[in-house]
Amino acid sequence: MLILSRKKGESLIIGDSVKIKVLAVHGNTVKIGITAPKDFKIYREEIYNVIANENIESTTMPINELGGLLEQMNKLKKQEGKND
Amino acid sequence: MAYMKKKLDIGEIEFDEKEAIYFKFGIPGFEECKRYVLYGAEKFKPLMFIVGVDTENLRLPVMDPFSFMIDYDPKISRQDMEFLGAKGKEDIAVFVVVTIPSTGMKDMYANMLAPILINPDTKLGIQIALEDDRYKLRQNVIQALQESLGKMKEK
Repeated sequence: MLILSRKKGESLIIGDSVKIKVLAVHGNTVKIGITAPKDFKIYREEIYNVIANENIESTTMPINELGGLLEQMNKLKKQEGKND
Repeated sequence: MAYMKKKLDIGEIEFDEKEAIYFKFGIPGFEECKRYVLYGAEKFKPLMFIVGVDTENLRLPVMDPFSFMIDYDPKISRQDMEFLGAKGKEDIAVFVVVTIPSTGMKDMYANMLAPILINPDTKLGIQIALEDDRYKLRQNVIQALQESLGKMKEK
């Protein structure tokens, strides 16, 4: 891992298209500004990992029978309609 | 015609490779797979599946979020719109990933914080992360539907 020190207002340039700037430092929080082409997707790492775990879990659950889910949803919708 | 077949645990599916949607960044957890097709069948309604083209046996169960959360309103950034080549929200199809726990359908939940966006015209897709405290990572689907219907009645 490359390790560099930066002060507030200083930037890093990665490759020919990504710029990362330190905007502010408050205690242990660093505010970062990123300039990157629109086809770069930027995620917060911990959020990305949560999404990845949820996605993986969803694919491992067996889909045997849907237990009349559609019927149940339609029934609910119909019931509510009647109560109006 | 470039027809492809995929054997999945939910059955064998056949599709035209040209229908594939390109996820430049893959889908979190499946970064290596860039192409997916949307698959639906009568017997699986209201579920659909986002099926990995470039990998084996990968299918994410998804649902139309508006079918159970009528007022779902994910904020899509300008960058994501541009990335998808979409002019407005009406160009984008929104899906949420659902998980069916072993306790059954009644406990099925959906990830409302990370919708999958697809532009059918450009055939581009992306899964985004919302910062929105109105929505849950694990939203019970039946409960959301009941609440949605309740809200509609109040109006």
